[in-house]
Amino acid sequence: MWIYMKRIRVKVKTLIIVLVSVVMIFRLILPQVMFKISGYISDKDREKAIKFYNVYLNTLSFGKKDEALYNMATLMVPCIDTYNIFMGMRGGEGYNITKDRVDEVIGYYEKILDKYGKSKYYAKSYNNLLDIYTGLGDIDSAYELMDWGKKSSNEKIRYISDLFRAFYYYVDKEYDKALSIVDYYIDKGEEDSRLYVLKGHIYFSKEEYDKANELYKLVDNMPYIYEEDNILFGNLKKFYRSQWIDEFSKYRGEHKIRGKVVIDGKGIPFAQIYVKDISKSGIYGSAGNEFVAITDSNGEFETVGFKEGEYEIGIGISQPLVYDMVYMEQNIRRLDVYEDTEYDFNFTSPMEMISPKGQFVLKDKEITLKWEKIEGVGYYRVQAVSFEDSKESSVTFAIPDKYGEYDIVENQATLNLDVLKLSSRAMSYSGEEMIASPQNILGTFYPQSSVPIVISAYDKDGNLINSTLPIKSFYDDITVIKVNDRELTKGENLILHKKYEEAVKYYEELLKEDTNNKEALMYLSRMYVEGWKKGTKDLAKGAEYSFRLYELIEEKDILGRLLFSFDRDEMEKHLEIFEKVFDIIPDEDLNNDLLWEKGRYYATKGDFNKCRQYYERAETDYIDLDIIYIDLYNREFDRALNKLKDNKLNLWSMNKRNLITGIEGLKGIDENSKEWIEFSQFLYKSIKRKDKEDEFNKVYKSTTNPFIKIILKEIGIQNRWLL
Amino acid sequence: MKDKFDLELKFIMDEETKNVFMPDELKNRIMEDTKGKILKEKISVFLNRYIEIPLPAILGGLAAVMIINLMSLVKLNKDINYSDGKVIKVGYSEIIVRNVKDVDLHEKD
Repeated sequence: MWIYMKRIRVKVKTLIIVLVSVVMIFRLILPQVMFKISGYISDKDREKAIKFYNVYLNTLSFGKKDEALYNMATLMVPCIDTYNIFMGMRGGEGYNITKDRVDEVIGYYEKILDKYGKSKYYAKSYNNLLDIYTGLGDIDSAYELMDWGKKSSNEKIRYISDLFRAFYYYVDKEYDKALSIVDYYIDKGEEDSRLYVLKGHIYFSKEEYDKANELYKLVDNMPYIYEEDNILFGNLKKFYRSQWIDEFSKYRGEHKIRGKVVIDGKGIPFAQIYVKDISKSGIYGSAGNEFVAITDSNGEFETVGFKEGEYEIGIGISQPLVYDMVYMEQNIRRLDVYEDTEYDFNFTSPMEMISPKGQFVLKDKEITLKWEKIEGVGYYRVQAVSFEDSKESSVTFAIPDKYGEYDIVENQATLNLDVLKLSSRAMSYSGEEMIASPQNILGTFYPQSSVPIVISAYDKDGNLINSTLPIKSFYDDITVIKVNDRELTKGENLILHKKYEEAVKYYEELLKEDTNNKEALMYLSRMYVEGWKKGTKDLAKGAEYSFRLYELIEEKDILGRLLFSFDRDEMEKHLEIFEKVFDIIPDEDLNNDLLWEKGRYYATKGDFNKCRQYYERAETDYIDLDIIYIDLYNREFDRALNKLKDNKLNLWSMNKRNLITGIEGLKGIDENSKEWIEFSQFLYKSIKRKDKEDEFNKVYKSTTNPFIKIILKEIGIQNRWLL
Repeated sequence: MKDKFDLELKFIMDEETKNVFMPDELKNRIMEDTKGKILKEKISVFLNRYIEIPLPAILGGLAAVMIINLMSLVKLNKDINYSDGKVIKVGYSEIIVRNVKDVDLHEKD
């Protein structure tokens, strides 16, 4: 209590000195310390350094605001990295920089240009601002800035303006104009490596490779003068192109690839175009110094000439742009270049999820999803995302509405937890012991789970035309269903904590007390059908529990899940289980999954005609290659050729042109010839999934028939036996 | 009432000082100095004045000053969130999990 009574006698001036000192420490001295700390930690912790600079700029500090603004801007957006999209791979490198962040940095550079005309960061800011506009493909802002710079009294600004102008001439294929600017400054003695690398790019695009390489090599040996890093003109890299061009020389030829990169029909400028030899595994040409073309102001490109061959084409687009883009992927994994070829990259703005947005706590059994209506849609799919244990990767799969429909026609769907719990089939295992993820058994929508939901729109041919999930997005921007309809049961808790043996024991005990316990039957069937770790799969037990559960609730998905878990070897041993399922469910009631399983059943039995029948009936947006193999095996070559024309046939890495040539060539082959017999025996094994790499090699090497060889080569590539 | 002596003394004083006078400039300076001296003295007196403040008030005041200043720093740090979140691959897309921004909750009716 004494403290409340205590009074301190102090002079007024002492009190004022103390107060002023406190304010000074916080408002003047501390910011200066922060500035120093920012500079010191910027290499080690970029984000913290940015925060320190931001604090410094918002205090009463003085003297180094231009430097703080510049440093903060370069830390926030060190460069505009590319996100690369190839036919068989995607991925970004570098920093996750959003458009909002870039806009903020644009503001900082503009402030430097506006207020700090004599700063040493003035010209650098101008340069970086042009780099950003170029990286974003914002041509109008870039031209405006270039025009402004051209009139500047600052010589450095005028030079940078001209340099970027030359680059813009270059991408628009006005090579002479670009060269005249570049040569003017080189003759003037400007020692900026960017001039030489740009000149190299001009000669490269003109296919004057020796001249280009000479310049690239010169650049590799030049010191840094104007920039602290390796970036130029948006997101191109300056160094090591000479090494790449040596490798590239093997592919020079006559055939050019032309196309467009567009979003919502509007061209995306400055996208880099990469081309990779399909037979080469390893590095994709996407490091910013390995482009074979750049899109012009209209988003159009034309590569240099390539020799005949199969390639994978890809693009590099600025990362901040992909937060608002959905890639309209094509079902093609390789580009067959034997003449001038066209290939476009189409993007669209993501469709809107109308409701629910963000996280939705589902306390009932049902939820209705609504989304934007898309023109030209054939059907929508609702997809759930199930995270794997590491939470770094995930499985995305289509889920049915409450009626069990996967292809949704309207722009809304009602989900029912009971239906979802039976249908979801995300499988993942970890470690050498192949420990099952709890989601394998509990399903994705178990109590207390959070499940991101994605809506995708497809045209009638099954091509993706839009999605609610852009190439990159933030978790808090997507719809997530948090299941909260009830508490987890004791058995579910055991499964969730991967105490699988205990869970099996618990449920088996439960079944002794109540033979019709649905929960016990469901989880036991799943655990035995899938196995919870290596060596625990017991299909006989799994089947027994599955049939018992089906008798109680008559859901086809239970039996679909059972059959799906059999591989071909297991099928041969347990054909009676398949027969029992098909006795229970008549043909007319089979859903797509079960039709497919029936096709597999007949393939395993060797009845390929029936197998083909069921595969065809099960067709949705995908045609199995086995249908082509069966037609070939049956010597129905025209039928195989017709099927090849169907857009739903996904050949992935097979070359359709080669397959057609091969099949056409087989039309006259003698069915008693050694080549045909060997080939048809190989096809038989392929359809039955008994084909092995060594057998393939044997047939591939021994056959003298060129058409069989062509087809086998494609099969070899498809199975990664030939690379 | 003045006596004779008084009048005589007045006469002598008048006679002796009739040629002594103070210029206006000096008069002004003296007046200004007098004024300044009073303000300075006032300030000095104020600054050197002892006051007695209850200890809780001092501690509270100091804490308030520090909190106000620290708040401005903390607030600035909260305003920006540039932390690179964890990236989850979803098919061919990437979802970034941010740390600061809260996920909106939409409770079902």
